[in-house]
Amino acid sequence: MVDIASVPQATRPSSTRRASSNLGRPAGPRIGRVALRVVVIGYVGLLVAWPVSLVFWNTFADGLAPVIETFTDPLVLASLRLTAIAAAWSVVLNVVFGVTVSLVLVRYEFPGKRLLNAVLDLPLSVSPVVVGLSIVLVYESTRGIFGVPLAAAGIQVLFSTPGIILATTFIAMPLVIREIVPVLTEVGTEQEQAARSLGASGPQTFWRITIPAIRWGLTYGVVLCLARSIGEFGAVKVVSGNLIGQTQTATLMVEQMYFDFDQEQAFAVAGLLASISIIAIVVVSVLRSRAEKKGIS
Amino acid sequence: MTSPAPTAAPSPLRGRRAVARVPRPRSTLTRGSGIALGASVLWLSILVLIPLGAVVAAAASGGWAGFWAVLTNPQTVAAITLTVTQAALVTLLNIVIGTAIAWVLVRDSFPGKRAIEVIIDVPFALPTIVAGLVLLGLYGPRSPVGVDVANTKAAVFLAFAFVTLPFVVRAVQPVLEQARPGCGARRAQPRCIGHPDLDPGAAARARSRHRRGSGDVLRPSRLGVRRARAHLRQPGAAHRGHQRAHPYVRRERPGSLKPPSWRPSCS
Repeated sequence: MVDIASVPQATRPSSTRRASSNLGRPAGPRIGRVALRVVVIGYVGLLVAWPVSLVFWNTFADGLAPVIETFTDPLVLASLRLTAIAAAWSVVLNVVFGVTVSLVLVRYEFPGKRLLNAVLDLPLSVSPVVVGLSIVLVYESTRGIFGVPLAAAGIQVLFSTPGIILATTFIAMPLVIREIVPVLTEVGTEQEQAARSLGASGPQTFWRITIPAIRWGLTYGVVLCLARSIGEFGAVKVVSGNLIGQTQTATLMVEQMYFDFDQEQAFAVAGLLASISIIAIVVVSVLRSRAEKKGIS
Repeated sequence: MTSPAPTAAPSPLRGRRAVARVPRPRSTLTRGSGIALGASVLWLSILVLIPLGAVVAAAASGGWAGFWAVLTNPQTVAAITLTVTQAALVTLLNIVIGTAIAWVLVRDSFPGKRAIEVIIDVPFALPTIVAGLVLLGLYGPRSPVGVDVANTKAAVFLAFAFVTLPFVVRAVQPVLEQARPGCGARRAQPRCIGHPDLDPGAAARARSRHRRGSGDVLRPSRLGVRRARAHLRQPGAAHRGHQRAHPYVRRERPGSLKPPSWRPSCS
């Protein structure tokens, strides 16, 4: 929102907001403003809105039958199940890790804090394909640092579900932290100290004071993390080995179907994934405006 | 809106003991938080640091000659050239259109603005492979408008523009919200883009564009973003700016809140 209340002229009711902003400049700015608006709507429409709506259009272009056929295909179902498993693990691991790290980062001072803070952003600045490659290097069962002992213990990480979970978790790691840290900073420690002084134990304070205070931040974090995990492609492609029906996630399935000229199926699964991410955005946007109204986040 | 002075912000971070002691203690870790920190760092090492270190080690294992041979391989050169050129072009486009979009979202109001706000975020959340299909739907072989750029440089440009859109807009928005009219700049004028207070955002945005563009492989990928730093927090706008900031636009570093270099003269 533009806070025009600080401008002296703008003491009129909000309905005249736009008119008042043109004070002293009769017709010129209005035309420019409308032109700019048109350019922006045109750009966003051509680049995002129209193409995205076409995915749904293409999905239902040949009626419902191909869609139903796609979503009863056992291979598609297997890939969707794998994506759901990986995303669920990624959310759980990232929430536990994210809350812990955020609390430590915000509430305590220690040497190396800035370094840790910078390192936490690495997963967002490294290309996903490199992330996949790095996991392959370390967990490879013949040469990898962790891969060799794990293989000796009979645990296969690469080309199986654990590898996919690792890659997905890596990619989505900073999202939860970046949502919680500002909220924690803002709420401060007063309530926690009050609770402690009233005799609450550490866990009680955490569950009854800290978690409720950060719940909206945590919710955004979880939604974003979920959306990101479901959509992960590059890292998972490198790590999974793309074994059809076994280690093929939904995004890998879409790619394969598209290049195999199963375009209807590809668009059907893509439509499903797109609707999940759009729902995630709408949820976040609703939560955010709600938090803004309340004045808390 | 009133908010605490920015210099007061870091104090609650330090906990109780810091108050009693000298200005900045080396460590305020308790036993429990120390264990939590240790566990976190261990997890971070297993998941992120050791694997990334392995990549660097593997890259260095061939020695300088091997590294150079790969880099000067004509195929690699062509790939890098394409990536860098397209990323630079997209950055130029984004400087103009991204600022325009942010300006319209902040300063203008019209029916459907809310929808644009939501649409801007779509490329961020859309799986990269789906983003590829999305673009091919309108600009590929099945295009209803007869534009087919599939497998060309134009497609690379388009994909970069698609995935970077939310980043540029969300990085500029908070800056525009704070560079308010009445603070020296005439309001509702796009040329306040040249205003020094907008430069940090513009620079961060351009950097983030470039990094993200360069991180893309094959298809629009969602990583490679260094979050644009929002050192845009101004007294009085700090609260709102924080809520405005988006998860992929970096906020302040905890514990290192800097007092703003600029204060609105009108506040």
